[in-house]
Amino acid sequence: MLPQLLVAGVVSGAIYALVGLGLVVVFKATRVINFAHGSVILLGAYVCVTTVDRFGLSYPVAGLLGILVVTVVGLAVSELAYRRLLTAPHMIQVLATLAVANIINGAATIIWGASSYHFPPSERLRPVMTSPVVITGQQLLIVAAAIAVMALLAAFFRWTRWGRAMRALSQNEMGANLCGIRTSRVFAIAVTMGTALGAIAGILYAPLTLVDPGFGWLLIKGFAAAALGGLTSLSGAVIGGIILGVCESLWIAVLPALWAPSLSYLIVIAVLLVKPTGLLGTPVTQKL
Amino acid sequence: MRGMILAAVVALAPTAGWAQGVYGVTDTSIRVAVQDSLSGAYSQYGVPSLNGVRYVFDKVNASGGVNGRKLEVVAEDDGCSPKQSVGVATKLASERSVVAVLGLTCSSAAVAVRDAVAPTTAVPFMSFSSGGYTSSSSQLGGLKPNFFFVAPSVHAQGGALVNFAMNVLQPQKVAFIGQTDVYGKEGREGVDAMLAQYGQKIVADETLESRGTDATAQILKLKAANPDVVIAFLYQVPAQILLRQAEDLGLKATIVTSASVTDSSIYRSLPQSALTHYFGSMLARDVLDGPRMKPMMDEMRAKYPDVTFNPLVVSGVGAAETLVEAIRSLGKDVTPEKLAAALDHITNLNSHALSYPLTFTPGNHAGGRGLSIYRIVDGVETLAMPGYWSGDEKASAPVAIE
Repeated sequence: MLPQLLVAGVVSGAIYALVGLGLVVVFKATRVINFAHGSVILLGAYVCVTTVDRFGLSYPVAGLLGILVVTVVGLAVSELAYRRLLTAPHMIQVLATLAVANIINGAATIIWGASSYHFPPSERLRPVMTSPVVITGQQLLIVAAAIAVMALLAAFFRWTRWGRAMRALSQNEMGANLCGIRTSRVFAIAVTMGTALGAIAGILYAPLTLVDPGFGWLLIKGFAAAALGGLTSLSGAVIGGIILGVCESLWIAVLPALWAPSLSYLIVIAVLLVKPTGLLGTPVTQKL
Repeated sequence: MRGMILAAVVALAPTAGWAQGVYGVTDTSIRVAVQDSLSGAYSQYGVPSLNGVRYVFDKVNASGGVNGRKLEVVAEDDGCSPKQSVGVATKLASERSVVAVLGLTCSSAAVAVRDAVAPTTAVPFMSFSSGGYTSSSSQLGGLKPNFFFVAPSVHAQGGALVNFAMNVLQPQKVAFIGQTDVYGKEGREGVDAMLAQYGQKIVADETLESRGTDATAQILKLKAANPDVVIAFLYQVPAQILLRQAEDLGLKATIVTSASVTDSSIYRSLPQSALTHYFGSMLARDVLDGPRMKPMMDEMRAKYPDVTFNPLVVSGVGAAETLVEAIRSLGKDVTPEKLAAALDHITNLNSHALSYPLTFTPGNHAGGRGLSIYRIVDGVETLAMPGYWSGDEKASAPVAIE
């Protein structure tokens, strides 16, 4: 039983981690918690499931299309809304993400309605291994994607010009500006990247469930994973997600599931009480 | 001056309803409100039922109305929100512009209106929700003289599923899995109570979050208990996860779900092999495209082509037909008080959509009695057997109705 529970926990954790990574990328560059992240997760899943179910595209093609569409939406939102709030107080920026979430959710309901959408049955969703543990192709894909996305993001932040610019901006905005880093450009890149990551999370998880207006609820789990990891750490978000997923799985094995969500969040609270910056996070100062 | 104008407007506000007659009753028409979730994320709960009500009223009107009066529908959106529902119901009650309010599919909204608005007005409310057991129990203070439920309570649904399982599937061991909320809790109580009448107890009792991403631990624990039947009180998303993973993880038990699984997306997302040992349940007398429902649904789909119908439509049809019967019994003298009293004496009313006859008494405002059962054959929902399985008492066979 234990190996299977660990597999289930790691897969759930990888989903949470993928969601958390999108939050971390935006927070790392802007110090803003993006509450619109759940909406872009939903949007990515809707676009992908629609193009597979209605237009008969293959899952990989539909997935890429979903990422592209959502990335364009992210860029548009950044230019139309967030860019104009660069100098606004931090709280206003956070509220702006809530407003964007409501607008995207409303638009999605107008386009897709309130019904549930589904991916057709596929061999990818069947077990590729049945002993010693059962694991499906989609589950493997989710875990592999979480690792790959984390590695690519780590490389981006470490070795690319814009990645370094994001880190510089998050550490010292005035200093970064004096060095010629354009806040607006960095902000736009971070939001767009975060949006694309949200789409990836939604597209990878959607085939395992139904897509309906409540799908963006994954934001809560992703936020818990990111907070546990430290909000600024990519590897922290992945580790946080895996811890959360495995804990949930193991709690349910020994206790009623009724307690599982609460106990998992108690772990998050306990860690943050002992180490307020999270497992791998760094201290930050916030403008108010 | 502005204050005086405002005071005059407030003072005259309740008389606005006079334009449509007192409580919406004139010599030529009777107005009835449908208050439900009609837009946004929960519109799939309210829109089909609203159109079920419209369909019934249109048919009645086409044949001359009720005692010479035409029936009119006033649609109000409550967004499935208790707060918004109380606001809408308060407005309808204070305007005195409708003789009854149907709808309130969301249990939380229904309970809020029952407690906050129903005691302040004579207008009868008829909810499509399944909150009946706790919401209308006189022992728990839930019974209100003007608040009625047309669906079987969640508790009764549990009883109905046990009756079906024990007689048709004849299990030696029954397990349960329900959501981590009142829905799961009340379903478990209903299953427990009816199983006791068969001398059995639940051998495994699991819970699943309504938005959980994985059911591995629950399925492995169910598997360890080796049940023949698993009764599930889950909404769409967790029910789909359970069915998908049960097959992957080798749970051999037959899974029977409560009536909250209403969307066929769930079946189309799964291979037939995951549905071989599966039964669903519903309030309707047949699946929407089955022979007992299809003629009505074809008419409705032609009449309302933009509406996506789901099995919740039967609550609207059943409630509307019940209301029409109660209004008809009053003759010309239709008032909210008399209408509530007439509803109290509805006995064994067979609607064209519900699988069970509705009965209300002054001591019982939960009119629903049981569930019908369907299964998936080659990806298509198919009625497993005609009739409904009682949820209130031990039964050896489904009860067939006309």
